[in-house]
Amino acid sequence: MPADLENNDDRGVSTVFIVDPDEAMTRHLAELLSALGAEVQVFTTAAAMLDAPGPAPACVISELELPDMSGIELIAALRSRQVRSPVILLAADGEIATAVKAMRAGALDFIEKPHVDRLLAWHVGRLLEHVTPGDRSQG
Amino acid sequence: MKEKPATVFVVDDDEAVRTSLRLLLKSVGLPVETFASAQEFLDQFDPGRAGCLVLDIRMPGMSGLELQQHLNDRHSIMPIVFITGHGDVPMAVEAMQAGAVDFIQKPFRDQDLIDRINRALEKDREMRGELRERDEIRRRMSQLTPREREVLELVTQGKANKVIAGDLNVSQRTVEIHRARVMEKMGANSLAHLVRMVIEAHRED
Amino acid sequence: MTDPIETSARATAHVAELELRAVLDAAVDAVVVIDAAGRIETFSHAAERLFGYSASEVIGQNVTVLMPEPFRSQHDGYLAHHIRSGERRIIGKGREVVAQRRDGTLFPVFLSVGRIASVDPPRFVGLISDITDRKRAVEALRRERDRAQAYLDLAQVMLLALDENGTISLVNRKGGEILGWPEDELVGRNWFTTCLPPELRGDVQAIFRRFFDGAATPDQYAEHEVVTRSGERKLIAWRNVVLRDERGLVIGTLSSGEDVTDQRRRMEALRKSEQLLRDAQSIANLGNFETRLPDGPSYWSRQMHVILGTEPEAGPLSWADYAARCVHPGDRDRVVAAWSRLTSDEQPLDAEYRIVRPDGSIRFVHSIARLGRDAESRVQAAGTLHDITERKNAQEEIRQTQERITQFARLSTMGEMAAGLAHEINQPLTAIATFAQALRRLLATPGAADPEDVELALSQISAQALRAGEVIRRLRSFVKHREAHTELIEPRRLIAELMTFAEPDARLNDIQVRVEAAEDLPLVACDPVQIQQVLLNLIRNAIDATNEASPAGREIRMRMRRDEDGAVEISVEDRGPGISDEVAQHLGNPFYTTKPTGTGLGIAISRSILRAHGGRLAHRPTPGGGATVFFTLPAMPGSDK
Repeated sequence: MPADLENNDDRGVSTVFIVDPDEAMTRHLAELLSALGAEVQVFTTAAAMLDAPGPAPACVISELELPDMSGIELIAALRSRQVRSPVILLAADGEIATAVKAMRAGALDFIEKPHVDRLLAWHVGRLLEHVTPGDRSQG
Repeated sequence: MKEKPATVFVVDDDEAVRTSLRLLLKSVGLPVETFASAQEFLDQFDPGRAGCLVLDIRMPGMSGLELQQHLNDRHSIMPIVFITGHGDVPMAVEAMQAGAVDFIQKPFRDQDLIDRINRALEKDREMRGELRERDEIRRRMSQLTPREREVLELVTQGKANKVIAGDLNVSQRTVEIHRARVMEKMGANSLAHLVRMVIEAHRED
Repeated sequence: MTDPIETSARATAHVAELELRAVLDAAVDAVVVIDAAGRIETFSHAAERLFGYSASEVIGQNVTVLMPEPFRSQHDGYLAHHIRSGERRIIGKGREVVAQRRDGTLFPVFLSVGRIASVDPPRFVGLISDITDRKRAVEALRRERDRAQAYLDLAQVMLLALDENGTISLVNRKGGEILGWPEDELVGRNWFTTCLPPELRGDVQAIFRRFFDGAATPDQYAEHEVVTRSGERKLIAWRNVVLRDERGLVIGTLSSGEDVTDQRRRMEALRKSEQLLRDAQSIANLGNFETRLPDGPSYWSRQMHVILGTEPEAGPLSWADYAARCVHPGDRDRVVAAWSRLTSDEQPLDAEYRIVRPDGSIRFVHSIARLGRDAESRVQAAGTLHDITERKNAQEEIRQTQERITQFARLSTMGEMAAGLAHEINQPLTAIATFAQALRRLLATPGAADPEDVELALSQISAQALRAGEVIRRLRSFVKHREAHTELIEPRRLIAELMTFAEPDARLNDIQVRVEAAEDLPLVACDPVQIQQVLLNLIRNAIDATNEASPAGREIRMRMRRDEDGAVEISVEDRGPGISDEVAQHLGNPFYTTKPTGTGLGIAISRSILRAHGGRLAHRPTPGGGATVFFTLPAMPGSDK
């Protein structure tokens, strides 16, 4: 994962990382987001995503429960690497306490999976629209 | 102005809940004020008062989330801890996105609530400290002469004295004198400190 | 007086006379010669035999002795007339006349008369043959024919003979009757053009012709329509034979025809009614049976076999076999008992039970049977067997669906109410927990606690616990899946309990619910939970309507009063936008909703609940704007206060 946010020319800011071990879910999300014009990269573990070369993505969409860490820990890991890409967490069945914890940790949103499509489409559409090359470091 | 102690403002339409919270917070020595409705709180709201808000979401008339919106519109920095009996994830997320510091479900463990209230009060203190600091910086900046402001601008842009002298069409010496006075008036002990203060001064409330 | 020439002539004549005599005597027929005056000159042997006279007796007598009156008196006149005028009546012809013997008996003869032309005055020769036998044969024939005709006429079938041209040569009276013609007018007419419908004419005639070619023999049996004189059509069943001459050539046809129009009509009607019955039984899945008692032969309609899955070819089962093989073992005792009550006590049988088909499948049947008598006055049990499996299943299905829908609607109403209720339960729980925790902290430091605070906490804990318990108790009784049960209840109590659920929801929507109850309300018999369900729906709707409208009238009124008929009317008034005609039209249609999250079941369920209570859901505008939805519940008689 690139720590150097100034050096991210070879990957567009329209890149969205999806981190979820559930293949059906990632395929579905990839289709949805591609339709919105995003370039999608799929990872099944947090580690794989954190190790990915290249610049920071415009947005990270992660399952709350990853095989190697929680989505909330993933936010902390990204921030500790100075990556400020917004993170949207998806939860199969979210609990309020977890949602609050995720939000406190800096998640952009915490979406319960049944509502994923609508909210994600909204977010990603908004992010891709508003993210210009000038403010890419903030993602 | 003499500040009142940080107060926990409790807004809940249920009298029993209000009373129990007052008693609980009293038991841990926190000043409490209770309100039966969002409107009642808003009517007496004083942005200058320190403290935090313990706010029920679902109430007759103005809901907790609506009150949050009103307070945001007034640039309130008062941290809000939502308490709700029937909240769901989207509601919690919305409240958090709107700036709430916490969101807990009724009934709650007393220690949980007290911890969150303390955290909220701590945040309030920090925010008020930052605000005060920003106000102080702005106050100091307002004491600069127009020329000193120009120099401050250019210095914080990272320009060397020689370059500034050229830009302002004055001698390098004159720049040095202005610069020293700016540092003194602003109370800055280094260039980095000065830059941070300028950034802070330009930050929105 | 003797003249030789004359004598010679006489001799010649005598010879001729003798010769004639010999001829006459040889003749089979009697020969009588008379002179112009009618006197007998010659009387042959045959004549003697025929009439019983000897020649000598009658020669010289008037020929009229040989005939009876009235011919006798008329004969001289005929003869004189003939001689005078030359007009011939008999001469050259023959005719049948009646002759009289010597003994006076009469007999038929055929008389031919010839005039001996060469003499004058003329003489006449009569040739007389006895036609008694012939006459008798002819008479017999005639009688035979008449009798045959009579038989033909008596026959209840039409008899019709056609010659090779298709001309009617014989038709009997019945034929005339059937065809609407006098039979004698039919004879001589062409059968095909007279009596066949035009569309059949060609075909039938073609077939008819082929009989004569020998190319075909008529079908022994055929049916086709004929047209009567009045144009009516009749269906005739024909039996045909061809008539042949002695050489074996076909010279005509003889047919007997039976008018089967009515019979066919009746058969058709019978067939139709049987078909109808079969169809009806099949559609209703209802069979009928008759069993001669005790356990004698039975009749089963086809549908019985269909219902029971038995082979129609095997015929009906005896009652004992039926009970043993068809009736479900679990119901057998009951059915056998019902049957024996029918057969011994004449108690009509009316039972629902299960039957088991040979393939093991189980059907529900409803059987009704009564004792009666058959056509021969023997006691029999007659009844029906109705397969009600589908109905039963459908009923069960409907009941289950209804229950599910009711439950669903109840739960979805609950879902809408849930926010308020969760709040309502959580508030006391939160207060309890918080009071308890505060108390623990207060008491942690000995002597630090203000006794008033301790007292407050403790009393509030118990009060709030009771409050939560009450909400939960009502919630449970409301949500619990339960059978409907009716109780007598005061309308006010009904409402008071209801407000537990309605109030928080209304309050959270910043709406006041005002309850106005008349003083004189009687008890009502109802299922309180169901009625509260209805009211909750109405209040929920009123809350939604209020939210839609301006915030001015944030009030819902519930009124209870006695209406003109003494029933209790409960109304829910809102100040919302009211119910448009368009919405009113669909109101109560299941799944019709104007709300984004509505199920469209609330009103439909409410209606069915109220129907079951003998009440009615209706609405009217609230004076000054909004809708008032109301229903009535029948008051308990005698429960007036």
